[in-house]
Amino acid sequence: MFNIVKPNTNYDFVKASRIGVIASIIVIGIMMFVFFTKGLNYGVDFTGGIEMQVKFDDASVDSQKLRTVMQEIKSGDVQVQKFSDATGNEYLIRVKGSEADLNVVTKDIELKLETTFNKGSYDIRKIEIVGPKVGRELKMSAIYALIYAMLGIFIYIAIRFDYKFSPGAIVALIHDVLFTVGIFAITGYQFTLSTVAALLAIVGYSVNDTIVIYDRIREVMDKHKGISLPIMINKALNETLSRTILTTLVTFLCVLMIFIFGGSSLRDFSLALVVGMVSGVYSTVFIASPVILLMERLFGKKTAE
Amino acid sequence: MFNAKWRFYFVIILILGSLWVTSPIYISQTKAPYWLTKLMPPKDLKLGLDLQGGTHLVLGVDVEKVVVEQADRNAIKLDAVFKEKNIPFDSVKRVGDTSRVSVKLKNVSDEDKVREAVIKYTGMIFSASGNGEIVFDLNDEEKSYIRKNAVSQTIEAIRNRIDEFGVNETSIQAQGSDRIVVQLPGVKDVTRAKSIIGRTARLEFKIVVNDPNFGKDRIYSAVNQANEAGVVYDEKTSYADYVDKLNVWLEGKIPSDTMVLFEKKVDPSTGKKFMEPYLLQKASPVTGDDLKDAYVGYNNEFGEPYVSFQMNTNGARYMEKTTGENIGKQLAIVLDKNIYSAPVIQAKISDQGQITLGSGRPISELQQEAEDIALVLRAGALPAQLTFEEERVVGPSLGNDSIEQGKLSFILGALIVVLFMLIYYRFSGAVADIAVVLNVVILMALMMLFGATLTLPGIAGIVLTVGMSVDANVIINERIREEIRSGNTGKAALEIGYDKALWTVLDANITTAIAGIVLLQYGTGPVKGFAVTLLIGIATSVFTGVYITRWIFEYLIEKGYLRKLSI
Repeated sequence: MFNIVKPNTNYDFVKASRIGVIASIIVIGIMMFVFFTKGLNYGVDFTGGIEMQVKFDDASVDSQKLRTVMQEIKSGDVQVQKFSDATGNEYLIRVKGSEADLNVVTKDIELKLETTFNKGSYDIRKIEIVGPKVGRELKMSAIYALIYAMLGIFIYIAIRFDYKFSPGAIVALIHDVLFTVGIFAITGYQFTLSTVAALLAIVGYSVNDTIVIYDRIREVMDKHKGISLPIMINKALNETLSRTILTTLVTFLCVLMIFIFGGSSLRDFSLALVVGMVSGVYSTVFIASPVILLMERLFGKKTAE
Repeated sequence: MFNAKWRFYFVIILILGSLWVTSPIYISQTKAPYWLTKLMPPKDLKLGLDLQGGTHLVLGVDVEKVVVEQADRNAIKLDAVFKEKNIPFDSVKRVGDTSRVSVKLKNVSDEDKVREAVIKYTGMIFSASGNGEIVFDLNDEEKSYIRKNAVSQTIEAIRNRIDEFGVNETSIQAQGSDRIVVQLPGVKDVTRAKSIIGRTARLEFKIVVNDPNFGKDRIYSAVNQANEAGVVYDEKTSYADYVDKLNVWLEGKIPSDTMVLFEKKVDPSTGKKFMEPYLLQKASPVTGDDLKDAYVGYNNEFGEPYVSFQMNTNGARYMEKTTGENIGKQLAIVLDKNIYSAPVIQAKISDQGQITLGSGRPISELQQEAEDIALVLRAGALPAQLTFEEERVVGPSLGNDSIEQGKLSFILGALIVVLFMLIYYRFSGAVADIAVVLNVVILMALMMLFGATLTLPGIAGIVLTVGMSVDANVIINERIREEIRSGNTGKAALEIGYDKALWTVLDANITTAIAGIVLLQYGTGPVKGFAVTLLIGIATSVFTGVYITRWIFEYLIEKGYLRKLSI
């Protein structure tokens, strides 16, 4: 047998989780500070506005030139950004949260491109126009969606396991969501609708790990009555360690492939998945299980009996 | 469950069936020989707009305005009813921007009679009264019916228009209570598509009021006063909103039962654009509802295009009556509150008419506008004004790039998973790999059977599913290894391993599915595509990971091929 993790390990995860919890609180604290001071780089999905992706055949067109041209547009504040990983000479032209009629601004931009550059020498590859009302609604429904997903999972765990197990899973999920959002705040990557979709996927997959370990904790509880809860948790974590590492590694590599080769349109989506995946496995081991201990201390010894 | 033989056939049929359903993905319909294409299933994989290129529009329907308009119609109706019944009254009017109608009576004692008449003729409900004023409101049932109806009528009208415009495989659906999502695959001229969809296309005919006491100069000054009071037409207001606000402001300042609308004109000497206001009778005796047909015609002299229309019998009767009674006056032809022309009525007109488009613009532009107007008039007016709230256009080049990049990351992801399992679990890994491949094939087959749309995040969802689908096998195989370590024989370890791991796998996947279902509710377009692949992928990966692999092991053991478990 080929083993990544030798059988019968006995790491003291519960003890290590104290450091883990403190580290998490500090890291997420810093992230939230950045989140509230600098804020997220919201895409037009949430701010409302225009985003256009334009590819130029002519290599002499550069950001500076395009910016100068776009600044002549009076109907809106037009920003130009070079598309970082495109193969060709590609730019993002963006107008965020404008008061003016977005259709008018779009027409102005298109007209400006047409009059400045040869028609046919550039390709408008994508246009996204989102009204401010829709943007606000999407933001709200994103928050609701995350809450509903967690609520559903909370209830399911309470039914299938024990109500004292649910908070641990949810705290771990909140940890993953905050951590991922924090990475977006720090790196300044665009936060879009697909990022939210990825957050929900993370919620789904991170809880996967947690469930597998919970399942084992429950089994250990049934088998070894009388030993203390921290030992039980340690035993369960050690027994499932190889599975946790294997699955996470394989899935992580898959997601990494999407991040590297999936192209620009999937970048914000796959980044969230990559980050969330790492956070997910960490939080399962170092956050979800200790919270069970905490719940036990708060709400009596029923489950240990 | 089944006995071994039946299970064998079931699995074989499932595999062959899935391969058949998904065959259009592997075999190009155009390159394959004819006899082969005849054998292939008719359904091809549906690609989302982000992959095949196209336009996704979200339109807001101003349903509240339609409700308010119903209140207006009720007010006009009641006016006539009270006159007929000889109930003396000061006014019957809609209250502000609401759906309420207020009736001011001359005799307070008439209240009962009025309340009875209102309920009988309009179905409105009483909401308040005092000082000889009675206020009625539309009942909630009617309001919600009007709103729903406005959305469904709008969808109908848009569908008619797009059908005439000639776009295939469009999808037009209501979203929430007052939104419509329109998906147009592969439309090149988005601006034109938008102008065809967005035009309200309400055609009205109104008699121009030539009041000697209220000439053009007084109309101009009234409009200017409104401008100074803040009722202005600028980039932030649509023309229709401006005209509505203006007429509310002008009420009482212009003769009763009249309104002001504009004709957009170009000064021939300076080339400057301006809007000429007209004083019109509020009522429209004839509207576009009575239109039979509309088409583009050409002016003999310069070849300028115009829109020619024909009324149906009902429309022709009203038109004849109206024009007959108003010979010598001007008849304004109003489309979406724009006056296109206001010719003097020379003689009775019955069923023919023209909309001229003005001059000073290139013929090609006029030509296109004439075609568009004729099209929307034929297709029917929208019951409510539309706003474009969201627009997402993906060009075909980006779509193609996305497909290639999606394919690449899928192949690499799958390769990693397959190799990893093979190296780590050897023979059992190979069995798990069969499950991984089958999982993808069945997942695609189900998507094609359901007609689900594959989007770019959907491809990512498949890659993710591939990664996660081995999780079931990792859980099971680790369990089997544990059982072997604790001294069980291969066959016993296999059975205990599968039994113990089953609920773990199910619990883990159900919680993921909960997130997937929420995502399905939240997302539209590409994100929804992701949720769909995720959910189907969860189901298929549990099936292949648990059921198929177990069957393979049991089958091999039963046939005696598998003496020692390599895991």
